[in-house]
Amino acid sequence: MRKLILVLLLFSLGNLQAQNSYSYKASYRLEYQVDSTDRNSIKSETGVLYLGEGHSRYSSLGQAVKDSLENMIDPVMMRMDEYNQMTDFKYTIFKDYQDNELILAEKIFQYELKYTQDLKIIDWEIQPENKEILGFSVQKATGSFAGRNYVAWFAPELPFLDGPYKFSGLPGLIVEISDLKNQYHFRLTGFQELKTPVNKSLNFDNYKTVSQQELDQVRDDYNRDPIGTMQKAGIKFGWSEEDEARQKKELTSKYKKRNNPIELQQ
Amino acid sequence: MNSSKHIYPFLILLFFSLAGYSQTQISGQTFNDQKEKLSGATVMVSKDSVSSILAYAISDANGKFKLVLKNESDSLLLKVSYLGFETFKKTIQNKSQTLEVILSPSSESLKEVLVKSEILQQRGDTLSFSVAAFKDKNDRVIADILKKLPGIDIRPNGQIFYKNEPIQKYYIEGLDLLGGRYNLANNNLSANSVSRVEILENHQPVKVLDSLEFSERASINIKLKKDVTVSGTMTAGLGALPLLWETNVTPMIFTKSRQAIVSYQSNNTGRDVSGDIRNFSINSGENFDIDKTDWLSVQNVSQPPFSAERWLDNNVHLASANILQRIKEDLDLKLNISYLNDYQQQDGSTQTRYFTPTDTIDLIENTNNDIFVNKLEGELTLENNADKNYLKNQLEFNGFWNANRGLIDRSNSQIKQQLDNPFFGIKNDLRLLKTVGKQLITFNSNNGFTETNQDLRVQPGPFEAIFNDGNSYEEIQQMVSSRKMYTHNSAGITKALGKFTISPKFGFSFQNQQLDTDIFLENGEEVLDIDFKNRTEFVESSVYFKNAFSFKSKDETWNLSLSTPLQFKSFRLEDENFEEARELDRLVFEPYFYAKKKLSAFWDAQASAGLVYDFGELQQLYYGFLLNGYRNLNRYNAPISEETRQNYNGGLSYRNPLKQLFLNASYSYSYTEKNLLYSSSIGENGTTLLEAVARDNSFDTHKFSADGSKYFRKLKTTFKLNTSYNLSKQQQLLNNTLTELNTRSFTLRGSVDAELSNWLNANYSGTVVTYTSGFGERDFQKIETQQHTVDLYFYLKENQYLNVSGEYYGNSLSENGNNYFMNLGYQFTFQKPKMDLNISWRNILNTDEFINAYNNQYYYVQSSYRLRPSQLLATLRFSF
Repeated sequence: MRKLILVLLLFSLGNLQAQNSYSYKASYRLEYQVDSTDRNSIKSETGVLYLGEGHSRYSSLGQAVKDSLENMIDPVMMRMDEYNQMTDFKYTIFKDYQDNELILAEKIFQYELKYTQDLKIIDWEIQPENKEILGFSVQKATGSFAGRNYVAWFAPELPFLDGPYKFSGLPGLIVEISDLKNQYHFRLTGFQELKTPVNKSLNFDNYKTVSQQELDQVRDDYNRDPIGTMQKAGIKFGWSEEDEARQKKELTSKYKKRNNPIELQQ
Repeated sequence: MNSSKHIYPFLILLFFSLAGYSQTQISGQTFNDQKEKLSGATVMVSKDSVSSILAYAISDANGKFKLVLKNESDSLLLKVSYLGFETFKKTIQNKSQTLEVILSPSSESLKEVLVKSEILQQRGDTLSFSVAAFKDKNDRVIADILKKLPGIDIRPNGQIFYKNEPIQKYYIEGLDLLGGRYNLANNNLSANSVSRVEILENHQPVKVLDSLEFSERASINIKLKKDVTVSGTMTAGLGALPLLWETNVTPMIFTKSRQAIVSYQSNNTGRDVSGDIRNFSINSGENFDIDKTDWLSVQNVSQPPFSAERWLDNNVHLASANILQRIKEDLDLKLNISYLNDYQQQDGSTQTRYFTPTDTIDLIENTNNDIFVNKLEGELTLENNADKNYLKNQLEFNGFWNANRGLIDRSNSQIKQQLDNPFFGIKNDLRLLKTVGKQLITFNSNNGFTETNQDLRVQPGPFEAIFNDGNSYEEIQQMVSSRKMYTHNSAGITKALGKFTISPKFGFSFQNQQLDTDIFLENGEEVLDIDFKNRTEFVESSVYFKNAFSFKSKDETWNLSLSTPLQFKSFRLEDENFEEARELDRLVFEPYFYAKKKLSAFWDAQASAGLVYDFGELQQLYYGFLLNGYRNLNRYNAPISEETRQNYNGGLSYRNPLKQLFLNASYSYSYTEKNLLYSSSIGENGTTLLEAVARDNSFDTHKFSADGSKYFRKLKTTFKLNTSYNLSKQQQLLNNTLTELNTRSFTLRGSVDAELSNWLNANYSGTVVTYTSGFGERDFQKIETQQHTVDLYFYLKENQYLNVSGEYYGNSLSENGNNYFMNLGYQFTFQKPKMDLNISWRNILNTDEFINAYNNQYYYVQSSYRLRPSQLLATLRFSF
């Protein structure tokens, strides 16, 4: 009986969606400087890029784990707590080479938002320099994006026009990319073919389409005052005004130290 | 498909040769072996197979490509690659030309790489945080670190939450020394001794259940730097006036197989140290407890609604010892004992006005109470947490030796009260889990016993008309002897069926309570009338079957849950002094349903409905009169009470993070049917007689609430507004007249929170409550209470901060109901040696009493509570 109800509910509520399958996975190690004024404020995270035919999907590893947990059919597993505390980068970027656009989707606290942007964000200049990274012969390219100048190394033998974050458009997978100040540095740490292609589809139909500026603003509002955001959503904290003020101050100073986003301007 | 979109913007031409070279344009079309156009193929041109790429292009939707280059070389190498196809290579002449490229499929894999040193931040469900990374120079104890970790909140009472759920276990080096009393370690273990904090997400503490029962809760594990760690905290504080002290000495030792924490804390500053031994254990659905029950009390004054440090006149000593010994792998034995001794003084006055349909009665009392608390509690736990079996046996005891002395001054008399209320409770909880094949068998057995012999003496004796033919008399003594014993046993089986887990649970419980009461007058003269005696035996038993179900849709738009517990309950009440016995047998089904639907990105709706049955407790079931307090004489000469309550709730919310505008509205309704009415008769001197009468009646409440908030980014200020309106109607017997009691309350709350600058934060909050009550159409009393608070925080430097606050509390009832307060706090952190100096000046205006007013269903009370005087306290604290 329970099973029947569940099946019925799944049929009536579950949204069917185009299944995107991915047959290759590239992992990157990102080292980034959190505070632009403090050269020692380096943090690092793992990013994963799933590559499929004509499309790809990039997110931090923490976000990928969260999404895959939420996508399991088992309803018990879906009730799992949110994993989004594991990463500083809670967005997922979908690149679509048919439509020439990328979608950045992000759940900020409980608000599901997304924006669409042209796939081509950089006018690359190919440079004649070559070197070897992880056994791949790579070539240099330079370009600028959102207030930073980048050096990228791509591997022509990996026939993907892709790379970490929003980067793409070189004749070969981007194996390493860094801005000239070395505040955001991605390095390939793994590249593998997936034995069985995986579906990492997510349903973004319910995500509200906003402008990039609006999404950045909401993210910034949340980072600035997560407690306030949660309170506004009806979550109650049992602490005193004094504790709350102290806690807020602590979070504010933490927020002020996180002043170095990858995109400095739009 | 829109073909215009398919022209790739990647037709990028690259020039890095010298000017004057002739320009070569290479164009063409790519196909697969089936002669189908191939779009998205990468076309690259280089001088030869080893040199770098000179130009590249990507084929468009028609497979066409075009690239332009300037280069001197005679020949060029053209490479075309596409995933799943062999790379096409051809040496061509350096001249403009058009080519047709046919790629043939290839099964050759791309080269795979993996950097071995890739550090995974997350292993399974464990998140590991390095303390060094989070430690700030102001951090002393591990609690300071914990609250900075993502997802962790520590509430004011010390309870730790991870992602808004209370944590399940607090381990130190994998051992659960303190159980739910983890505050003691959290507030005293030096952050310097700790290397890492691990958050075990979805942690299932019972190994047997690991793959069977999914846990949504997280646990915390503290990893220490050394195998043998000695740590702790010391605090010393002095203040005036009168002389104030505060001390805390908490040393601890941790080794691989043994852990111990001992603590001694004492103060007379109003700090409530019992919080350090507060138990945050999650008691899953246990109906029975050995918590202290009080039958008798001295007349109290209600406590002010702000921090105890401003009104609690205490003199407290706390000692606690906690030892854990690992006997062998997976087998732990632990002992936790704590002792609390406190002497509190309470001074105040109460003015009570009773409304009856015919009259109003006023009562003025000046209260002076001495409260002596002596409490010993302990736990002995044996736990075997192995892969295939689980056994936990916990023996717990509580002992209280409390006494109260109360003195009441009334306009024409003085009343002394003396209360002895010792209490003793012991219980044993056994939990056994065993895997049999693929099933898991669970067995729980909880057994407990409590005993209390309470004794209240009142001088001179009240209720003269009842006890002494209307003549005054010297003393009355109420004796109560009560015992309780219970057993609750359940067995369940957990079986995995594909993706579902079914776990039906059957259980039965039995509880026997005995209440014996007697009243004595002066010279030990016993009141023999059986109306003033109880020899009650109350037996409750139940057999149940429980099940629950929940569902969350894949896209999270729907969230449903349903629980369907079925119980057969049986009650027997007998009193040897009365012939008739009271009995009740009921089969109860208490379904609860909850649904939440996400309507759109910013809109949510939710609804719930449930049915609940409540049956009488012994506290409302005795036949003979009991003098609960000096002016309360109660009895319940009626059947076992039955209440059926229906609850409905609906709500709508709008949350727009783009505009930073948040709105919520909800409505709830509850309807209760009861079989008993309580009749109060109020005597001229405020004495109350409460009796229960069998008469069907109902009680209904409506509650509307709405709130909104808006953040103004430019002003860095949040404005919030909450309102709620409650309406309730119930029947009541007052001096033998049946009346309908209506109450209405309206609450309006607003706040402004502004970050004025980097170093200054300002908050204001204000609340206005209007409460009206009346019988039938007649309104009796309307009270308006107000509360306004302003807080300023100055962050002077990294290691200093100053806090100034002002408060106002007022009510419309009393002429002098205006209360003003001011407080000042300052903290300085020394770097060498690492110590915190905290100076606080509380109650600067030296407001000596807090005046408050409230009204209950048929009376209103104005009370004043004596506060701690203006005081200065300096505290020095360090951890080792």
